[in-house]
Amino acid sequence: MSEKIKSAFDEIYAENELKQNTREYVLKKIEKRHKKSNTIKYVYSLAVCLFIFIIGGYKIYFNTTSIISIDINPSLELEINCFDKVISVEGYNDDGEILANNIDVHFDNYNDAIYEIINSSEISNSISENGLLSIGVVEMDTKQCEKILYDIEKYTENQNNMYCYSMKESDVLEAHKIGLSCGKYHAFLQLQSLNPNITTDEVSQMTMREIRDLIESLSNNNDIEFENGQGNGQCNGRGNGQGNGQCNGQGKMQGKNFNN
Amino acid sequence: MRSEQELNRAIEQYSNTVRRLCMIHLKNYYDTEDIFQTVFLKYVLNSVEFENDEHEKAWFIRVTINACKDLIKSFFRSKTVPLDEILTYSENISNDKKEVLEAVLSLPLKYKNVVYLHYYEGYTAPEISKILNKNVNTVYTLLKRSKEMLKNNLGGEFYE
Repeated sequence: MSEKIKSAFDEIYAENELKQNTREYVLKKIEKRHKKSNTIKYVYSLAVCLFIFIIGGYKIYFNTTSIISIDINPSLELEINCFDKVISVEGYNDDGEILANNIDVHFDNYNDAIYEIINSSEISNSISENGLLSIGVVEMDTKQCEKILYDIEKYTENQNNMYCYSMKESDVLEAHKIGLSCGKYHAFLQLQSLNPNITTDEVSQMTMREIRDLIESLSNNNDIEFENGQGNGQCNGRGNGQGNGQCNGQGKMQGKNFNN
Repeated sequence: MRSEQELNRAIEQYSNTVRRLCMIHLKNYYDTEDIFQTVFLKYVLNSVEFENDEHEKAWFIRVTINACKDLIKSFFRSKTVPLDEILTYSENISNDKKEVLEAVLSLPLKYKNVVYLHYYEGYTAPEISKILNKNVNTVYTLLKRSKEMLKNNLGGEFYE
């Protein structure tokens, strides 16, 4: 029985045409798959590159390379990216927060942003009422800081009641830790070197004009020459743990002060 | 994915087995072509390493039977031809062999598989049970019944 079935089935075999058609079909399918898989790989690589580019671009664009602190009574800070665009505006007191909410300088060039802020009704009114406007630039990227400082100096040198200065990056952390803008902190250090009892709360409530007047009156009372924010001698002599910060801050201020 | 050389070797080595299984299950040549394409494409895309030729052959048998079952179940399968047409592809077969083939093909599907695997491929009942994923005793029963049915169909001289 087994032999009979075997010999009967032996008569059945795959025709050459059937084998050839199968071979051609499978090879064609493989080729298509290769092409498809290459396309998928290409699209995938492109998507990965695009993703990296977007994420990288986002990180670069939103990376702060300089901070500009604008203080009069509204105190606010502008964070600038490497493309000289404003990426963040933050108020450091109530007036500052109101001003930050009222103006829209996001993604503007810092020159345009400063111009718009200075010409806002809040700040222009303060200046016309003998307020004192300070513009500080925090050194995070030295080259950019120099460029920004140069641009601001050009703008403030012919203006009454405005001055500019640069600050070290380490001062920013200290300033923010105690809730002051960089400009107010810079002035606070000067004031503290003359009156160690002054507190940050008191300074935060004062306008820049009031702080400047107080510095000048304290300087005169102590019979120490203090003119236009200069005073290395005082600073170095007073060093009691605050000396370094004060010294650096005041040192930078020399030569960049346009106070009238 | 397997190479073109591997595909060519497999076609030469297993196409007759696939063809016979297709004849057992299917009723026309176009479906056989479909099964050939499905089975050998699956083989090329399959990355399983076979332990030996026997393992590979068992894989081909199992995949072919499953592909045939899937095709039969397929909703879109509408092309069916009468049983006679199966043997039009074997014009040169002698009458007595044709008679044996017709007797085997006239059996219900579950018997045809075990008859082919046991009498032609020489698999034992436990081996068939693994390939078809059936109980060994069931395979023994199927073999016994199929033998009786063939005896009835072909007469007593079939055993001689």
